[in-house]
Parts: sequence; C-alpha cells; structure tokens
Amino acid sequence: MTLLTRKRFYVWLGLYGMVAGVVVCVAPLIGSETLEWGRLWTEWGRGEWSRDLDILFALRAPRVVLAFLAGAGLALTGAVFQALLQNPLATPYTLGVAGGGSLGAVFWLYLPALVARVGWGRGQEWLESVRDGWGPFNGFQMCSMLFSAAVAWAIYRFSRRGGALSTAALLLSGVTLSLICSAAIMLIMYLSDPNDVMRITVWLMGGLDVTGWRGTLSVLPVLIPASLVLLAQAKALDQIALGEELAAGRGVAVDRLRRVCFFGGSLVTASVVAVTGPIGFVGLMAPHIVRRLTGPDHRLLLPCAFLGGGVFLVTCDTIARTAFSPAELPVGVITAMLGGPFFLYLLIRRPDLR
Amino acid sequence: MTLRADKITFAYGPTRPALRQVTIAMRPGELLGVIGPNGSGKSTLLRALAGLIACPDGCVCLDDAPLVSFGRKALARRIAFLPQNTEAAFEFTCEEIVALGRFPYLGGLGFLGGEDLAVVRRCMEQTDTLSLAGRPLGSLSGGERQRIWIASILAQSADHLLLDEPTSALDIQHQAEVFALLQTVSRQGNAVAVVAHDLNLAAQFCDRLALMSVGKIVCEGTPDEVMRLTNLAPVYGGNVAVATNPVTGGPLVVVLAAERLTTEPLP
Ligand SMILES: Nc1ncnc2c1ncn2[C@@H]1O[C@H](COP(=O)(O)OP(=O)(O)OP(=O)(O)O)[C@@H](O)[C@H]1O
Ligand SMILES: [Mg+2]
Repeated sequence: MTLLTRKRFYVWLGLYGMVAGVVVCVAPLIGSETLEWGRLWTEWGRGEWSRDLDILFALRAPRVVLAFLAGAGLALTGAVFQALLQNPLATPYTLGVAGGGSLGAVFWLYLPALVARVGWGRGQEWLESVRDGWGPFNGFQMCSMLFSAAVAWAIYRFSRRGGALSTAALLLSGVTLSLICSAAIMLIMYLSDPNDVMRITVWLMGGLDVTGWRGTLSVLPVLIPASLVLLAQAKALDQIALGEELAAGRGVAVDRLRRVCFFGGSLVTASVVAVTGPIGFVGLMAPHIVRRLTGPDHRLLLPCAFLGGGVFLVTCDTIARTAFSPAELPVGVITAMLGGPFFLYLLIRRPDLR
Repeated sequence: MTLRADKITFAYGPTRPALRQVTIAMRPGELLGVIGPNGSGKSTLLRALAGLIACPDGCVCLDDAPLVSFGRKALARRIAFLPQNTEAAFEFTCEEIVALGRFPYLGGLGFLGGEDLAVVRRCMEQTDTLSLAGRPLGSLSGGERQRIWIASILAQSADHLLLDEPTSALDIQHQAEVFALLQTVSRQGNAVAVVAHDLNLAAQFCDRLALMSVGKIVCEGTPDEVMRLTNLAPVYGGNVAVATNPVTGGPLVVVLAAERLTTEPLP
C-alpha cells in the first residue's frame, strides 16, 4: 500500500527530520578550520568564550541556519507552484516575484550613484538614515521586498479573468514581468560604474555570506507563517492535480486556493531573495527528488520538500565554502552545477513532461 | 432525499444560454440517463446539479434547500461529480487516485483511517480495478483509467452521483459492466445521473431518460417513452430509425448513412 496512513507519514517525516538534524549539526563544524564537538564542549563547559565558539555561533551557525531556511522555503514554494501551475518545470522564480526582488536589490545598490547623478543634495543623508532599516530588515532588504510586493500585486491584477485567477494568465504575466525586471537590471548595470557592476553581479549569483544573526532572523517572521499556510494547503493541492472541476466537486475552493498559494509562495520567495539573492535550482530540484522518493502526494511531499530543500542547500553551501578553501564559490554555482545536469536528465528521461 | 433543478437558466457568456428553463429531478434508487447531441447542454446541466455553476434564474435544491446553503465539503459528501475529461498531473498511482475521493471526509493533516482504506478497497473491487492498484495512472489504457475515475467517485460515498460520459472510452463489455454497476449503486438507494451517447445502452439500463437539445430538455420519461422516432428524429436529424431489439425486446436505435453521402459519388 502506498496510501498515506498516519504511520507512513510519520516514518517518512522522521527520516527526513533525522537527516536534516544531522546535516544542520555537522555542517557548521566543517570549513576552512575544522571544529570538533568534543573541544567545543569542553570550552563551553569551562565557561570561556573561545575563538572556536565565536566562529561557530557568530559565523557558521547563522549561515547554516539561513541556508536551511532558504533551501526549505524555496523547495516548498517550488513544489506548491508546480502543483498550482500544473507544470513540473515551475520554480519559485517562475512567477516573477524574484525578478522584482532582484530589481529592488539592484536598484538599492545603484541608489547612491543615482542620487549623485541627479544631484539631490540631501539624498545621501536620507539614504544614510534608511540604510539601517526597520526591525529585523535593513534598507536593502526592504527595498527588495517592496519591489517584490509591487510585482506580485501587478501579476495578480493581470491574472484575474472574470473574477477568478487564471493559471495560464498567471504564468504568462509572471514570465513577462520577470523579463521586464531583468531588462531593467541590465539597464542599471549598463549605467553603473564597474565597481558597482561587480557588486551587482555577485549579488545576482546568490549567496549566503551573512555575518551575525540579523539577516538570518529577518527571514523568519515572513517565511515561517507563510510556509505554514502553504503546508496547510497540501490536501487541496492533491485534488487540484486532478483538474479544477473535479477538485471543485470535491469541495475545494479552487480560486481561494490559487490565491493563497500564489501569495504564500510569493511571500516566502520575496523574504528569501531579499537576503540571499536569487539562488537557483533548489526550488526546482528538491521537489523533484523528493517526489521520486515519497510519491506525488502533497500531504507528504510538502513537508518533506521543506526539510529536503534545507538539507540540499546546506550541503551545497558547505561544498561552496570548502571546495576551494579559503576562497569561496558562490553557492548558486554549486546548486546550478548539481541542478543543471539534473534538469537535463529530467528532460531526456521524461518526455511526457509538459 | 432528492436533488432537483427548478427552471434553471445558465449562459457561459453573452451568447445564447447553454441551459434554458431546465427542470429535472433525481430520485433515490433511480438511474437517470441524460442523452442528447454534442453541445446540447448535458455537461452544463451536470455542472449545475453539482453546484459548480451559479444559475441566476431558478434554483438547484438538495432536500428542498438550495445548494448554496450547504458548505462545500458537506455538499461533496452528498453529491459526487465526475467531469467529462479527467486527467491527473503528476504520477499518482491508481489507488492514490481512488483514495483522493475520500477528501471530503479527511480532517487535520489528511491521513486515511481504517474505514477510508476499507472504502477505497471496496470501490476498487466494485470496478474490477484492484489488480491495477499500484500502477501509475499514466500507464493504463483509456478504459482502465475511466474505471479508476469511477472508483474514485464511488469512494466519495455520496448519495447523489453525477457522471459525465463515464463510458466513452470503454469496450462493449466494460460499457455494459459500468452501466450495470451504476444500476447496482442506484438500487442501493442512491440517485445516479449519467450522460451517455450510446442510446441503446442507456435505454437498456436507465430507469428514466432525459433527452436534451439546444439547452432544453425536450423529452423525459421511461426509455420506451423517449426512444421514439418522433422524439429522436427532430433532435438527431432525420436519418435515425427506431426498431425493436430482437434480443431484449426494447427499443433499438439505428443510424442510417446520411442521404447526401449515399447519393453523391465519391470524388
Ligand atoms: N466553458 C465554456 N465556455 C463557453 N461556452 C461553453 C463552455 N462549455 C460549454 N459551452 C457551450 O455551452 C453549450 C453546451 O455545452 P455542453 O458542454 O453542456 O454540451 P454537451 O451536451 O455536454 O456536449 P458534448 O456531448 O459534446 O459533451 C455548447 O454550445 C458549448 O459550446
Ligand atoms: Mg459534455
């Protein structure tokens, strides 16, 4: 029996949870300088704040936790969008929100130059005053999320057909707005001086190099509630995979489900992209691998994709940090190097993909 | 215990309405056949009965209460609807598809309990699909797939079943089996409505037939009353003939080649 009973659910979830626990505990120990649990323990016990503990808690742990949260959120959103759009090639970035977030971030990096160019006297002062942002979010993140929100709202407005959200229109307007945002990013890069272009390029590759906990913690207030909302849609997403009419006949509020999934997924994506940049392929690969292991049932797929995506990104980031140590590769390179070939494999092995 | 539509009118757009002043009732224990040419509004009628489209005029009522007064899931426990063309995205296995029929009964995280599993098994037995349980739906033949969909509708355990062309891809043996199955289900006290294009099969198994044409029910009654040349000829065109089936003694509809085709020489 492959049917989802309570036992099957908890066995799989326990398995994923254990793997996730091990990976999250081991990853911070690996790096240019290997830490040892034993030594850390004794130092902790002695009550002294050693350099090792400092590396662990101030540098490695926030980064690993951020990697886990980002990977988990993106993989969950990827799985939800694949079900929402009934398209196995959908990713969290398909619907353009990440394009908006990237444009916002790039715009922020260009702002000082822009202020200087237009010669707005008090502009630099104003920029300094908002740089630190509000609450857990710094100015950079707020700018990115503002653009994400604007793009999400635009996509939503373009996709309403006779009062209901159309998935075809969602896909088309999302891809179009995404392209418009990339064009705008290109324009900004063209206008920027080489130093800024370098910074923009590096950011667009995606990366997890945070210092301290602020960046990591700033993801939480949006990502966790939005993820819980997405996870709660699992039962209904199974039904929508059988077609809109059948789902509606079973008692699914199809239009509401689409709205919740679109906005929930957009929130997760926006909050992650604002901190890490558009890290690619996690949102595509993780759901597919997990689906191969656990089957397509979303009640199991969604929580497992959440955990699996986190594990995947933590692993990729650990490779990125250590492969050419002390130099660091952008994590997007590693995810793409692993994800790209997998994508091609899917295309070759699964000609039935639409 | 009845589902009835009372003078409902519905239009998809500003064009001519797909349903015009349609009145029909489903009764427990009865198998109702909905017949009519393509585009006559059969699927639209089933959608209206399932509560999927809102009819501004008239009223669709379950137990004398309008459908809109029911909650979505409560309604799904009473009315099960199989749309005309149903496909599944992703590689669900057959038993998973059937088990998804239990949706209106699942709470919380949506695990299947012992009773759900028993219902799933029974529905697969009824539709002769138990041997397909572990296979991906995509690997089945068209007819096997249709039987899986019927099983998944049965798993919804509703007392009103609406099936839109559930036999369109089946061989004659399985067509008859599905109709016999629907007859059995109706005899257990359920109200079943089925859309079919095979008039003879519909006449043989259904208790009552409703003949639709251009958004109206033009004729309703027992198979013997409906299957008459005076009813069928205006709806399907002049080239149908009705005879007596030498085996069953019931009506037998025969389609003759259109005259134009027989008189004009082939190019
Ligand atoms: N989604 C839709 N949007 C617009 N018009 C529609 C839609 N669905 C059906 N129609 C129109 O409504 C009318 C009735 O369609 P319906 O699908 O109910 O016919 P049907 O009797 O089920 O036909 P068939 O035997 O081909 O399935 C047709 O003229 C059709 O063109
Ligand atoms: Mg139809």
